[in-house]
Amino acid sequence: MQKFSFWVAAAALSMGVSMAASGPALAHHSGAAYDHSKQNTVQGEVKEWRWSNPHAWLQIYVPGKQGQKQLWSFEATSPNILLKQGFTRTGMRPGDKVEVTFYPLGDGGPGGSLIRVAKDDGTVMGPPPKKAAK
Amino acid sequence: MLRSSKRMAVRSAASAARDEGRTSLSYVHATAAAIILAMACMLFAGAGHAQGFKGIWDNPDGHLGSLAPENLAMDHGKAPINLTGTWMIFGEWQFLPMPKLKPAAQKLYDQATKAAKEGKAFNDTTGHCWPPGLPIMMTRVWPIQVIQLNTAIVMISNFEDQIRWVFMDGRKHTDPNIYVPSYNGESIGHWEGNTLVIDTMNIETRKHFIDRSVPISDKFHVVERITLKDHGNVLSDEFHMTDPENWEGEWVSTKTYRRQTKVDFLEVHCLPDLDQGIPATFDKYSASPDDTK
Repeated sequence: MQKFSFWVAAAALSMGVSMAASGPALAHHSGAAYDHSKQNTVQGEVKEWRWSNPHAWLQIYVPGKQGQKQLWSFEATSPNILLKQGFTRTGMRPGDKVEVTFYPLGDGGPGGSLIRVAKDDGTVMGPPPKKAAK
Repeated sequence: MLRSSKRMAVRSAASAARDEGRTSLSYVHATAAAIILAMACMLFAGAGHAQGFKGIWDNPDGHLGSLAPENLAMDHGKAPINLTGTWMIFGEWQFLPMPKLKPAAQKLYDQATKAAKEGKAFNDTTGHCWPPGLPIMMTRVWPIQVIQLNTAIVMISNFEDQIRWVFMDGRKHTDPNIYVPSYNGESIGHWEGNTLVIDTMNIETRKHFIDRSVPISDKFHVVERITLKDHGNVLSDEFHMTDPENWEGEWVSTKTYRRQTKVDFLEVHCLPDLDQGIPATFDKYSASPDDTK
């Protein structure tokens, strides 16, 4: 089951990446703003996890250097694919502490394209890192 | 004091009415006419409502609706294949190979290519909830449902529930002067052997692009040749697109779809706040920030 989920996730993800690289990402909009050659992580507190079609998205508050909060936005794919990656509608709630792995914006802006979320209770949602597939 | 004032006012009004009898009479007539007119309108509206506003939504050319029982009961010829099913695109989703674009279209294509290299969107209208329209409504990476009747074949893309009706009841294209252009156009189909041939025109051009910002004009015309393969499990849609204002000759590309047996549709809307959490759609990542206008 784990293996199946991974391959479904990997296929879905690669589809999204290839589309994003060459044109409209996941059929809704351009994904040109994301740099799919890199993966970054950032930690913060969930503001909103929008579970909707055609995209879900996540916004978190990230503590800044001077203590102020900065809002980061991450687009996710559609819930039908997210479900197969372990995400659920109630998997994240406002206030949850999370570490987000994502494809960053090319200009380093606060946000990106969501890959994986690890919660401080040990829950991990999203496809496993590529090296785990070997 | 107050009563006295009222009496004076009444007397004054009566006096004024006598002095301006003809004018008052005109007011009475005008008021009566207005009341009668309003009542007539209400009666008319009520009658219209009671009859389902009969006639006001009729097809402009008076053609029978594709779901009218008498139309469904007619013999429109036996369909050689049944396309009913849920289909998911696979393989190349872009309309390749590209045709030779006319200079203005080439300029837009080049601008979009340059923007993509710079990490920016360009004419990303679908990303801002403009309808994808034909042909790209057929290539969003979402399933497409096809429901085949003898009078029409209905195609619904689950991406924002875009719908197109392919009329199979022998009707002709509507006069472009009275048809309201639509993003998926007006599609008329017929069978040639085992191939469904669809002719589409009357297509809305505003904010309507193909793949990388190739625009369309009101001369845009699409002919599709649809067949089933692999024992009915693969649907092939061969697009032949012409638009003499934007490219030379026919733009030909075939899209393929695999039958899905465990897929029902989800509700998908492009809501006004959808892009709130989608950074790629923010203005700062667009080389054409008027996409929403």
